[in-house]
Amino acid sequence: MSLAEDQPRVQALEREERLAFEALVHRQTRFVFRVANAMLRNASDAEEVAQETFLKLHRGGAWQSMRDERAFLAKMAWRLALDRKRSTATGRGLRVEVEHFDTLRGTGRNPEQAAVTGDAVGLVHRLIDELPDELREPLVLSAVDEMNSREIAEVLGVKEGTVRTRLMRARQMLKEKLADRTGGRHAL
Amino acid sequence: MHSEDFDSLIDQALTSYGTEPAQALEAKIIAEVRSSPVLVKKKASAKWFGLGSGIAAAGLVAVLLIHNEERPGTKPDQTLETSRAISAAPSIATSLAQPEKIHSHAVSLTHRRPHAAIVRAASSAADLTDQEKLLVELAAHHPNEARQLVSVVGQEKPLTIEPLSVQPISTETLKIAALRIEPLR
Repeated sequence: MSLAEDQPRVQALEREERLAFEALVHRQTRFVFRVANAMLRNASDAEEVAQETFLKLHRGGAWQSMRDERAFLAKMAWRLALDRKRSTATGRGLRVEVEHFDTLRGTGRNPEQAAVTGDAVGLVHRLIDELPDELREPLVLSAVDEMNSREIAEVLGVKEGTVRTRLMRARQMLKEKLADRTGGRHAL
Repeated sequence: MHSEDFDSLIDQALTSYGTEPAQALEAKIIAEVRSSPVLVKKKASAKWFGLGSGIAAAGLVAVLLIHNEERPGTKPDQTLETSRAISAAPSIATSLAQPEKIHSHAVSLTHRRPHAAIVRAASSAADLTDQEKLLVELAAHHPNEARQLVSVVGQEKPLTIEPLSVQPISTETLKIAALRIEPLR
């Protein structure tokens, strides 16, 4: 078969490949962004990481052999986000949770209630930021599109049982710290 | 505050980790991918193709060189073979006594193709030993030396081995003449 005869077939294959990749982008952009955001806590940085993730995936060609799409992408985005975090040295807990207050705005609560709840949620954010990495990471990943223990385990490179234990410990530690901050008026 | 309140507070805080990306993000990513698509791939594949071709060519050259070195039938090789056969002749005479000594030489000679007619004539149901193959090879290329060698081997006296005589082993019984104990001081 000559090169001229092959040309349309090659073009058709390239087109097919491009469409498949674009479908993947449509399917998983939101998820990849959230994984990156869970690490970076900054929308603009997370968007850049999401872009980088898909570009690297496309260049490397690994996307065609992914067995578990979500786990693969989450792992990749998480690592890129971690690299970015290390390189930019963005301190944890320095960012104001603007998005959070935006979500509270439409809840129908009166301003006082919103302020009280907002303060409490802000406090929880700070406490989450203070958690050791091994506890904070599975906790924030568990909040991303309902990632299950198996997926989190794959991203973090630990056993599934370890993820469950760390999730429990993270919540327990948060509750204890919250109890301390609220003057012990609680029943754990 | 109760444990459930804390749980709901934590859950509420965690919802902020599920923020939505900007709507233009997908389009942005797709545009990026389209602007720098297959170029990298093509470069990479061209690089690998070049490397693969180079290795294949080098392998082919190596195989050809080795093949040329080992090809039989050329004049210098035949001269070498003759000298080898002559030098091997005395060792063949003692081959029954020390077969392993000539083994490597025999292998190197039998590696070359022997005369088809002689092989056919000498063929039997059982495989030839290395020594037999060597003799066939020698007879094919140098019949005079082979004849001489066979006559020399035929004149040799048969090898006789003296029977071994082993003396019976005897151990003398141990006897204690007297036991003396020194007093302690």
